[in-house]
Amino acid sequence: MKPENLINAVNQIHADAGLKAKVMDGEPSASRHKPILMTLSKTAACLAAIAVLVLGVTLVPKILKPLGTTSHTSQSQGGAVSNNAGQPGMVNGLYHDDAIQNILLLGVDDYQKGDIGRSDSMMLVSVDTRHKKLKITSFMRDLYVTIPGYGSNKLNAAYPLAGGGAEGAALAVKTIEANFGTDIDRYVMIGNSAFDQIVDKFGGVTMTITAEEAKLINQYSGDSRRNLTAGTFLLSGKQAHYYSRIRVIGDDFGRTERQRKVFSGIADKFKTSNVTSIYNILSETLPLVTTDMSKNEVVDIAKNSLTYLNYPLSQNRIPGDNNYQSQIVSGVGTVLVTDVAKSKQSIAKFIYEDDVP
Amino acid sequence: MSQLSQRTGDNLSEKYDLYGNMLFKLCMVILCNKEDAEDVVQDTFAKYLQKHPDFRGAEHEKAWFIKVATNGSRDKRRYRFFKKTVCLDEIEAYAQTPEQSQVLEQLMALSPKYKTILYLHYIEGYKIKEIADILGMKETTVKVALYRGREQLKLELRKELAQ
Repeated sequence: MKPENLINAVNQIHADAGLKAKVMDGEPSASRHKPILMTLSKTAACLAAIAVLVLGVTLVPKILKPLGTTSHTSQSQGGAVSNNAGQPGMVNGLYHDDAIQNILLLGVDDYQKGDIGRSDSMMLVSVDTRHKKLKITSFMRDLYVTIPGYGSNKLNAAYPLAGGGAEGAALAVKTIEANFGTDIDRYVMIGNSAFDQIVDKFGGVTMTITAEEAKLINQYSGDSRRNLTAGTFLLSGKQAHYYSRIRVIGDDFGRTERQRKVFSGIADKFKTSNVTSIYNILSETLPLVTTDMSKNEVVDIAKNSLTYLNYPLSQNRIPGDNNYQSQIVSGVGTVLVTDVAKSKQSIAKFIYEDDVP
Repeated sequence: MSQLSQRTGDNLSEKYDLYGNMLFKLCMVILCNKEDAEDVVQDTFAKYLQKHPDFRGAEHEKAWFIKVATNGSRDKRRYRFFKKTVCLDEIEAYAQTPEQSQVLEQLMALSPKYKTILYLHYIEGYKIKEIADILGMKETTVKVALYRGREQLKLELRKELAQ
């Protein structure tokens, strides 16, 4: 480039005649600082999206459910899961049906070293042998709930409030039981990196994604392949993980939906596997998760996994579409306030259908 | 009072005619955005009215305007964290030829420091020492920025400046 070209080009820039009039008014410009707020909210959204990564882990739990666990702690709540015992009804004030096993999948965002993490993804998987259905209920992490012993807070705060780990998971279970009145039998908890590994052990998961989602995954998943466009692809662990963390599209509601999609994607994967390979995968992934299921329970589920996975899959989300309000609570942040009685009913109806009063 | 403001007004008009276009070009190069550049120019003259600084001669005055406008542009950029890219439409409104718009695009894509210094050196003809004084930088810093900016634009040296 020649200097003359630069000079000539820059000299083409000229102020509008109107600018002089503005200057002659002698007033400073009406400075527009609004963008800074937008910037902040964008940044917050990005951070939230990162937190969501953990959620992706949730998918793994589904797999895990059959797997059982390395660390089935002494916490076992007793009571074997039997498929054809007792009638549906109330146990300790909670809806319960022996033929329905409720397993809470917790995706924990613990990617920072030394961070307890938050249970940012919470999905209740109900294996309903009475109606022969598989049901997933997502609980939004921003639900404003009463945490037993800790006052009111966001649902995802229960896990760290009890110090994380098995106690944290137990408090998350207790919190959902106390607020939404449904008996939860077991939990399976997956940390951040475990999710990626588990999906990879399954050989990836097939998802149909939009161009917008593809762009984000390519950019942020950390997978060296940036091959995605709009369409149906076999996603790697990292890609599926990021996919289930995306929050900038359709915010948290869109995200929980994506998480349920990944879950059913993994379920589809299972359906086409044989029992031997399911066992193998389960035994490899077991060490990566924390659960209160006993070895026998895991084996039992694995044994029946092909039956369960062929049940039709239905989905629900708490709060429901017209049953929440976004509010700001000082010290807690933006929360979703829901009519607890209605949510309770919605869950009961969804999981137990007509069998519960 | 009315006489005073009359005088100030005339004075302002005169100053605008002297520096207005130059400052707009400078801000436009830094900010790549017409609205922002106009805001900064407006603020620069508002500050001039408000402070009515004492100048030691015309060079000092011009340097003051440049300094205030570059500072203002820098502040403006802080609020434009996500919007620092060049808007081609705005460039094309000025450029007469595709070559010119390409040149402007390349210039505006540089870091603000480089393009400010390139602008002052090439378009306003300031020497390295003068730029260092105006922007409050070390001469070596200016020299390096000028060198790197030139490298990035693949700008040929002017013979008379090469020594």
